[in-house]
Amino acid sequence: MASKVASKKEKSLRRSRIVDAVWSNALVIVLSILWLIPVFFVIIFSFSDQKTFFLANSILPTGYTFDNYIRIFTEEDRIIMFPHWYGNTLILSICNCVLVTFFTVITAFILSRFRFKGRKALMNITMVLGMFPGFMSMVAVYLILSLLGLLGSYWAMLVYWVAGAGLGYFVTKGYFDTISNDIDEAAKLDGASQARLFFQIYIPLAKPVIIYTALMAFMSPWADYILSSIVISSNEARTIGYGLYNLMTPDNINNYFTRFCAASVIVAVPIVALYIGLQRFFVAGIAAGAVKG
Amino acid sequence: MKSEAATTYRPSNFVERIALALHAWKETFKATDGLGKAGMAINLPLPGLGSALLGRLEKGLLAFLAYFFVWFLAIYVGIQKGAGIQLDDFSLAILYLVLILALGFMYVSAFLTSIEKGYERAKDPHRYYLESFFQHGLSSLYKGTKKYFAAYLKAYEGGTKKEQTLLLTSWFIMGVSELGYRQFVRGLVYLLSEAGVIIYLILRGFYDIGVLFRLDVLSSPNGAFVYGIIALFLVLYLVFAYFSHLRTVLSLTEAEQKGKAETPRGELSSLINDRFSVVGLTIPVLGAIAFTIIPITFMILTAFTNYSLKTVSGYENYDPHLGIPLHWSGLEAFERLFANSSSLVDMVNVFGWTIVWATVATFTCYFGGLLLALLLNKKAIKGKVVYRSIFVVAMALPQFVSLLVVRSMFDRYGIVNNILLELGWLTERFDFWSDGTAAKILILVVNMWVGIPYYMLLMSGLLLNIPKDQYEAADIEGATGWQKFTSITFPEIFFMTTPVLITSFVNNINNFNVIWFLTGGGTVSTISGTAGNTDILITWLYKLTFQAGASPDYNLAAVVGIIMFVISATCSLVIFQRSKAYRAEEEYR
Repeated sequence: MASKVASKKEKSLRRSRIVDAVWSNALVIVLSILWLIPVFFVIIFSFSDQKTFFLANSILPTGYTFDNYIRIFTEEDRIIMFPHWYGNTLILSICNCVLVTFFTVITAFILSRFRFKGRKALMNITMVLGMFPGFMSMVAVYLILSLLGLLGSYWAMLVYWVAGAGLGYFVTKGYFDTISNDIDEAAKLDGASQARLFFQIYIPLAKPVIIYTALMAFMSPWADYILSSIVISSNEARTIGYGLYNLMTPDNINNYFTRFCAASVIVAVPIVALYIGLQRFFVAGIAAGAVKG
Repeated sequence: MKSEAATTYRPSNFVERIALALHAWKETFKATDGLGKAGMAINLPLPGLGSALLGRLEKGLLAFLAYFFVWFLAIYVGIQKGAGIQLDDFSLAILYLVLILALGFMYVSAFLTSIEKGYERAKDPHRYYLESFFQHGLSSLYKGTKKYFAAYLKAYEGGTKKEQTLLLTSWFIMGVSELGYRQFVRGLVYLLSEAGVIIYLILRGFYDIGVLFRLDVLSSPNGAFVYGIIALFLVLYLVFAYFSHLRTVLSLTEAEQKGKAETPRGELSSLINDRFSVVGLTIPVLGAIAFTIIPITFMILTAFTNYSLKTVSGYENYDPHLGIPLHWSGLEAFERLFANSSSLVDMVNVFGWTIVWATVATFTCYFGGLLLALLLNKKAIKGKVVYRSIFVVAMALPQFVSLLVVRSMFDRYGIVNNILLELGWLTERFDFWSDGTAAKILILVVNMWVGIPYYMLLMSGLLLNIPKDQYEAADIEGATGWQKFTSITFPEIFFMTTPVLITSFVNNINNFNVIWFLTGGGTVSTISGTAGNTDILITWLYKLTFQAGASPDYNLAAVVGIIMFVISATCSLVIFQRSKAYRAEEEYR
């Protein structure tokens, strides 16, 4: 009797587990599709043989071609200068990645490892500064950049970002804080200098968060819109975000939508690949930032 | 609150906590002396004033000022509404909710502070516990100066001829004395920076500072008074460098007299050792001053000028050829924002929607991400890596791509309209983005699409950190999945992510991209207003600064910016300072 009840219970448990599994899988599939719809939309329209997204009588494009991809690389006019934008953004993001990562990591290292007068004050000030909406001060940034004679070129954006690198140390510092102090005590006994300690011990130990920092720094030129829109006046010096945004204004959208899609695909593929490849470092980075704030 | 009761007895729920606080207040009130009683009593109706009386001078007065301002705002907006200004009821309700929360917070924190201060007095009525930054600064300055001169005189009297000369020289010129002690790096840095700054100040800096006092000297109101601020900062640098130079020379002399003089080599090697912090932080700090602190100072000052080209309220007769010279205008811009009915309407609407947006966006993404992470964590799901990567795609896509594409999908002539027409659910084309309510809901939904993957990754990282044995114990007890979630998973995650919640709330207040790329702030609904129906504070700020045609309203924008700053700074400072992660910085090692 007892075993019968048990097996019945087991059966119902197994059944509920199967039902649960079916439901969960179905839900994940539906969600994945939901999340991919806009992606499909971009890809499909990047192959459309029309110029606009407006289709009078059908939902999907009527004809497909590879033209958009060829045209964004070969044709440049007053509105679209994709190869220029792409090149600018790529150069900018590589420089930005190297410099910003370097300064952010060194700031984080110092704030995490050194105890000096005014350290707590410095950290509180940077935290408060982070709460001012960034572009509120853009008018002044604009004037200072023009004082430095940098206006109009995308190097101005690099200067601005590198100057701000010291303020974005929170996540990286949080990670450094979790590294045990014993290591540098041992290294100090061996007579290693602080600089050597930093380059030879901490950088390798903090690899996940450094990759995270680098990825973020690499991404910022691709995501930027505001800075580019303020600092840069000529079309060919623009970065990708601002340039492509202008293709979507009411005046341009009907002529350039499909080329916008093609350009977006070209931009997105390497970035998405980077993200997927570096996913685990990304998780390490945001988890460090989360726990330590 | 460090009274005895609190350390020995830990209240387990909210009601007990309140009862305990009331009890502690009563006991402390009985025990404390007259001044303590007065302070504690005053803090009840006028939070902050009593704390100031009991010694927490600046903090207390600031809190009282804030309290006063919140009441003023509440009454003022109420009167305006009564006077028939078209304030949206929903936005008004949100505004009042926030004001009531702020008041409640002020009462509670002043109540707790008064217990703490009253307790200090009860313990030792003869001592006045002054916690004033001003007094503290002055007294430490006095002590430091006294100490410096004592040491200086001692070093001077016991010094050789050379040392005496170098000590005397240090008063007049920076760097030479350091060079005299063969400290080449510091000597050159002091000498060259001093020379450079003084030359710049003479060439244009002093003039720029003068301009700060009389802004109307500027030929056009183009914000060039930023140069005055730069010059002021350079003067500040000189003062700061001068004092640190004096101390350096003194300590070098002392080292020399003790026979432990630093060699040039020693100085160089200290740059990568003890002084590595100085070397490493130089560029980040300079960068932050040049591109963050100076611009922010400029922006704050802008709020007190008439820096705008727009013809509004007082300036109807603005003549572009004559122009109104730039000048300091006190609180005129603040007044304009609140007294001008159309900008008050804008302000209340935008504020209400900003709060709703930030709250809903934060919570939907937070819980959505948590649920998705839990779902993907299930054993039954095969191919987790693939699914996770799919969601990462959404996160990795540059926002201008995903958001602009979604905008075109929901466009009046976009694919969604086409499908809905095809299905017969719509009879005519519907403009999702210009209808206020539809646009707001859609923005929140699209934001979930953008934000959930990030939280999903974060949460799946954190879920791994929860100790497995807790779940095993729960399984033995026969807990259901839901029970495990509410009593293990969620509390753990919530504890770990309180800082994240705050940061992302503040980030959402500052979330420009989602609103701007989707609707561009939406259609402007109020007559003569400037804010669109989906504008949050930051996009409105952007419009006021850069978009208002050829007539930017810089001073009004600065006021909005200051308001935003006050909101986000209070939110995060209050909660961060209390959060465990912030206080227990060292605990993680």
